Amino acid sequence: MSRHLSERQMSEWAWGERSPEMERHVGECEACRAELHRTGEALAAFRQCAREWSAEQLGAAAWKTERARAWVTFRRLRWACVAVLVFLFAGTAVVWRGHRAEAPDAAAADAMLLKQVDADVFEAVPDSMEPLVKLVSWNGGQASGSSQN
Amino acid sequence: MDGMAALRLTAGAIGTVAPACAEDFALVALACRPRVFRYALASLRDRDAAETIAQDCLTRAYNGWAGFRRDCSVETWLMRIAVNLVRDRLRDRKLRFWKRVQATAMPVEAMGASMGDGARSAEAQLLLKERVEAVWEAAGRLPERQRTVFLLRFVEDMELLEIAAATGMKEGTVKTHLFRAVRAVRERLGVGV
Repeated sequence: MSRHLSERQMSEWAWGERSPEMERHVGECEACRAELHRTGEALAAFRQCAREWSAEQLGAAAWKTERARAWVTFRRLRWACVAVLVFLFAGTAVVWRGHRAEAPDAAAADAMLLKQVDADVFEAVPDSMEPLVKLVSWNGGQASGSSQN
Repeated sequence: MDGMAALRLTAGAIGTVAPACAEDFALVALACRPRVFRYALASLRDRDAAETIAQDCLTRAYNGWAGFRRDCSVETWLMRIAVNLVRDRLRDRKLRFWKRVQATAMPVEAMGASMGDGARSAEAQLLLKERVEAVWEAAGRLPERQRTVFLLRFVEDMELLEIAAATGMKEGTVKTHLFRAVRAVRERLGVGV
């Protein structure tokens, strides 16, 4: 092959169809080799660019999807949180109200019990002192009489 | 599906393994979705549209699994669905207005670090970037079929027979469209012609 590669052959070379004659000619012809190199380099860079761009955009799309998913989850959780808060608030209110209703009775019972305890403490004699009470009378005669017996 | 089949699916080398259940299909989807998305993105230059197409493609594949004739690989079959979806999308009159808007989006902005590999000078990097821009521009101006085969070959690295299966064209027709597309791109690059 003495003449340069035709446009058709240049294209075929670019997409990978290479006959032995073409390869032989490219090995010998500097001009064709340079032209094929320029085309091949541009197409390889184009492929690389398309792939990098796609990977970048795919990552951005995935991030966007994740963000949308997180937002949906947040919205669901937000309503769940609101529901829980409402439930807790209502429960607390009910308990608090019940506690306040029971409070006067309990206070009265406590006061009565305290009063009784005070009276018992004031009047009572410990068990360990009980025999002495029998021996000692505050009005002398009876106590001494009983001690004599 | 055994472990090897799963491995083949996740590695992207999908054969005619038939997903037997939803989990298997999820593996297929996981392996093929980036490719479908990439093709749709390169064709439409619109992330949202590409995402919709990738989703629609997998939904259609899932629903139409029973109708898959196993005459090609699962991946090629998915690409066929994607090609049809992109074509329908492009033919939608409503989208024509947006095509002009999309033309302003330059994917070249995404390429940065990979260009500066240290082997090229700043000037050479700039020159290459301009060439890549020129390829994008030329690809955007190609007629629909030429652009489809061009992207499937030079972005997706598909073989001509796979492209023929994905587009429903004969191999000779694929070659003709590819030749015209490459010629237009080379013309735009100022190489040859």
